[in-house]
Amino acid sequence: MEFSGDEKRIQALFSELSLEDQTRAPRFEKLWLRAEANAPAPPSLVMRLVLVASVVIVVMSLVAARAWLNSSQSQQVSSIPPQIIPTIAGPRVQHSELSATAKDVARPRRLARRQTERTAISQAAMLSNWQSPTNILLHSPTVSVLSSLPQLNQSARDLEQFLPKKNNELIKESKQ
Amino acid sequence: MEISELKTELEKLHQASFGWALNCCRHNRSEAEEVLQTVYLKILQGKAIYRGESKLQTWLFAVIRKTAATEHRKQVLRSLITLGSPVEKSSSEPGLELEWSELQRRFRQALAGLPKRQRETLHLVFYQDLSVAEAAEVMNISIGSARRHYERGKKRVRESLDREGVDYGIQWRRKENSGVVL
Repeated sequence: MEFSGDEKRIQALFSELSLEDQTRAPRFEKLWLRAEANAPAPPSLVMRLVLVASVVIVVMSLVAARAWLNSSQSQQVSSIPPQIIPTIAGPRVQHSELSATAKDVARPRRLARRQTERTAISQAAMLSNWQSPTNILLHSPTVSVLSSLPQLNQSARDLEQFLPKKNNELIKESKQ
Repeated sequence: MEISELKTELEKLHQASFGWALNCCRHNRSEAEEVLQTVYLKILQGKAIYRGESKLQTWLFAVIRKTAATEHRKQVLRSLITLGSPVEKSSSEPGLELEWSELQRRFRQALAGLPKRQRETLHLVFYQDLSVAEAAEVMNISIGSARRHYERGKKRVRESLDREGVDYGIQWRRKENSGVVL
């Protein structure tokens, strides 16, 4: 860029400034080496390969573990015996509408349904009779006193027990 | 570009880079050194990558400028955190000021009084001998803006030196009407 007039003068002042700055400038090697010391060493090729291989191994083992878990879960599901869910009997279908083959298929179904109904009833009965083992703790000994009405002549009868027998007999006779 | 090749080129540009770093750090030598070292570190770490899209010098200067701005921001934040210990504004070393000529001192004062963009443009054009377009690239502004900063900066430096009455053998006023003023 060519300068003229004032520009040349300004440039002269700037060049003086630049000369002064050059004397103060630190050595390039000094700053570069300091920067290199602060910079972390870049990983070598072998290190990179090891890193990539370890990542691949981890990913593959994760995939294998997941596949194994899935397969074991499916095996567990297959080993569980089929549960019969009690269902409410649906609306009855007219027999005349059913064909012969349909009747054959419907018979074992009806039997199975009856069985499930019976088991459901028995289980419901068992459940209704069930009592908690700690149920007794809920009852207090004063429950009977609180839940019954006292008899008015009860205290008189109780006193009779303490009277001598003769008197008692006399009283009985007089009553008679 | 290989790192060894880049290192050779950076070494060639080192003096100019330091001058630019000084300008970006308000002529604070230690700060400029730190900024330049950080720039070299960025290059080594691959955080600043030269892709050959522009001149190496303009790319490097842009990185220095950005790094200096970041460092300055950090310094301001640090000073705010440590409860208002003021950020150093006077940057140049006191011992050096005694060595400067009167003209140089006035000139530095005039430069310091300029807005940042104008000071940067003048530095890049006159000190680093870049074109206005290259200066615009370094500063990441349009050529039109760079030219405007250049013209205004030049005018303000001239006015400032005139106001101070600095002559020292340099005639600052334009000589278009020299025939009229006798």
